[in-house]
Amino acid sequence: MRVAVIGAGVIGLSTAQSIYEQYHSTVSPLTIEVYADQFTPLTTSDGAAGFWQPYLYDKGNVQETKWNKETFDYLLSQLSSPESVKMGIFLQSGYNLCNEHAPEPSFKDTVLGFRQLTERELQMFPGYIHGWFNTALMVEGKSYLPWLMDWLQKRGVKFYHRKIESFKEVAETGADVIINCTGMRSGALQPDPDLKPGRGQIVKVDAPWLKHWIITHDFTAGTYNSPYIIPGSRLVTVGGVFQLGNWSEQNNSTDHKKIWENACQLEPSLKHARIVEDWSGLRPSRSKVRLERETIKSAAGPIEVIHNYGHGGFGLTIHRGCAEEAARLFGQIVEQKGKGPKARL
Amino acid sequence: MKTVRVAVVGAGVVGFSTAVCIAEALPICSVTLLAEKFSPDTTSDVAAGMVLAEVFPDIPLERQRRWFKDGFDHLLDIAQSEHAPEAGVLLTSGCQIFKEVPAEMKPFWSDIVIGFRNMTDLELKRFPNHKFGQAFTTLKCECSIYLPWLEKRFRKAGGRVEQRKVNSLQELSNNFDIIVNCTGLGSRTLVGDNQVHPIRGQVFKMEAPWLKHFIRDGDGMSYIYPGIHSVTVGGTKQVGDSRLQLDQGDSKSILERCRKLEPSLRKAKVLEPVGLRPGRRSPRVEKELVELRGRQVPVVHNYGHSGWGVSFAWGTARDALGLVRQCLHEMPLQAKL
Repeated sequence: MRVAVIGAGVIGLSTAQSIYEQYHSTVSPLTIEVYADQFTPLTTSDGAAGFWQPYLYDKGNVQETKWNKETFDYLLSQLSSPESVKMGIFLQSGYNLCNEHAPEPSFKDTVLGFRQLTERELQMFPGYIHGWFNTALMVEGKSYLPWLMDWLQKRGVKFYHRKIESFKEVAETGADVIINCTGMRSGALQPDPDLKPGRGQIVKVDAPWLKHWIITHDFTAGTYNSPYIIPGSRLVTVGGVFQLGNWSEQNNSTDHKKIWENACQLEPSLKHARIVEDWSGLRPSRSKVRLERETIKSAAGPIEVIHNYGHGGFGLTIHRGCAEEAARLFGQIVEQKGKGPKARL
Repeated sequence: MKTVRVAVVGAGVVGFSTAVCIAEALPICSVTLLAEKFSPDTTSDVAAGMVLAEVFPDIPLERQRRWFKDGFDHLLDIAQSEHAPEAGVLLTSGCQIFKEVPAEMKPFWSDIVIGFRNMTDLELKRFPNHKFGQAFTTLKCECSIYLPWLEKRFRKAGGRVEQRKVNSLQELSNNFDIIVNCTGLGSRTLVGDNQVHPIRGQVFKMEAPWLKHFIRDGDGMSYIYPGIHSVTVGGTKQVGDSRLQLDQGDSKSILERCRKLEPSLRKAKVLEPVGLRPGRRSPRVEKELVELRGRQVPVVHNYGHSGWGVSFAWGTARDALGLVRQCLHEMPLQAKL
C-alpha cells in the first residue's frame, strides 16, 4: 500500500507514525510518503507553546475529550523513556485562573493532582476569583517534530518538500490512500466553510525563574483572548489573542503591546525579562475536528482520503488520539482493499 | 543621641539578613558587616536555597513556626514583585516522597507553604520505591543572587561592609557597642561553641532546563531542585566531616540515587561544589553580655542553622533585631547621650 500524508506538522507526522506502528508488520509493502510545503521549525506546531491543555469545555465533543486523554496518557508514558528530553516532553504545573465561577474543566481527571486554588493562591493573582492548580505535560513542537521526522526517516518514510495543489495530484503519484493533515490550509484542497483561522500572536522571552504556567480565562473575551504565560525548556511563551477570521501572519504591534502589558500585570517579574522574538500563527479552528474518511470521485477512479485537520489551538494536545483513530480508519481501507493479512495467505 | 555602633559578623544569608533588618529598622545604629568570605564563597552560595524545614529539638515549635512564616512571607513578597529575578527568588512546586509512610504526615510548615496536599496514586506511580508523598509550592532563594541583592539593600540603608577575618570578639570591642554574631561554623572558634560542627554537603549543579518541579526524598538525602540557571542535585549529610574537596564516591552515589528519581537527569550536564553546613542541635538566637577589655559588651548570637539557613534567615534575623532593641534599652544611659 502507498500512503501519502499531506502536511508535516504534529498531525501529519504523528499520523504517519501511528500508521507505521499499527500496520508495518501486516501490510507489506507499506510505503509512507509525507508531502509538505513547510517543515519544522516553520510549521504552526513549532510556534505553539507546546502545552498540553484542551479548551476548558468540550461542548459535548466527547470523542475529542477521549483523544485528548489518550494523548496525555501516551505522553506521560514517554516521560520515563530515555528519549523524553529529545522529544521535548516534560511535566510542568501551574494555574488556571478565572474571573468568574466556572464548572470544572473536561480534563480534570486526566491531568495530575487537579485541585481548586487555595485562598492564598488566589491572593497571588488579584482580579481572579476562582481557579485550579494541576500538573500537566509540555510537548515542545521544536523538539517533538524533529524527533518524529527522525523516527519516521529511520523507518523508511520519505519526505517531499512540495506544495500540493489537489488530491488528484497526489493520487496520480500512485498513492492508495491520502491522509489530509493540512491544518489551516485544508480549504485550498477542498473548501470547508467551517475551517477558519484563529490568529494568535505570542512574545517569547527569557525568564528562567518562572517555573509555572499561568492561563487566564475571560469568558466574555473568549478562549486564548486573555493573558497566558507558559515557560518552556528554554524560553517563556507569553500570549494571548485569538482573532477568528484574521489571516495575517504578520506580527502586530498593537497586539504585542496588549499582550505584554496584560502579562506584566499578571506576573510583575516579567518587566525585567529580555524579549527574544514575536511570532504569529493561525490556529486551524473548526467547530469540531474533522477526522473521517471520504471517497472522492475522480476521472481516474475513487480516491481514498482520510481527513485529519481542524485541531484549533489544541493540536499538540490531541495529536496522538487523532493519529491512532486515523490509523484505525486506514485499517478499514486496508480491509476493504483486501490488502490485510488474510490477503497474503 | 549618640549613634550606636553595631558590628554584624558574617556575610552568609543569616549575616546579611540580620544586618539588613537592623540597618532598616534602627536608624540610631550605624551597622558595619564584617566577614572573611563573601558571596560566592559562603556556605549559603552552595545551598539550593529551598524553603523547607525540619524540627529543631530545643526550640519551642511556636517560635520555629514564626521564624518559618516570617521568612516565607518575606520571600513570597519578593517572588511576586518585579524584583524577583534580581533578588534570585522564585516560586517552585514539587513533591516530597517517602519510602515508608512517615510518623509526621503534616509537618509544622504544611499550612505555611502553598497548596500542601498528599500526592495521588497516579502521581506516586512515577516513584515505584516510594509509598507516600506530599505535593506543595514553596520558594527557592538563590544566595549567589540574593546575597548581592541584600548587600545593595544594606548599603542603601546606610550599612557599611568590611572584608576582614574577625579572630575574636575582643578585637571588635573598641570600635563597636553591640556585636551580632552570624558566623555559622565560625562560631566554633569565635565564641568557643563546641556544639557547632560541620555537616558536609556535596551537590551537583546540572543543566536541565526542562525540569520544573523539585523532588525531595523525605530522608533528606536525595533531592533535585530546579533553579533559575541550573538544577541542584544532591546530596550528602556527613556529620563532623569538614572536607571541602569533592568525593568521587559521593558523586557516584548522588547521581545514582537522583537518576532513579528523575531518569531524564542522564541527559544533563554537570558542575560540582561542596559546602559545610553549620550544624548544631538548634540555632542559637539569644543575647548575652560578654566581658571584653574591661567592658560588658552586648553580643547577640544568630548562628547554627544547620541545613536550614535560607529557610530561617529572615525569621531569626527579625528575632535578632528584637534582641538588639533590647540591648539598646538596657545600655547605660550615658552611652546613649
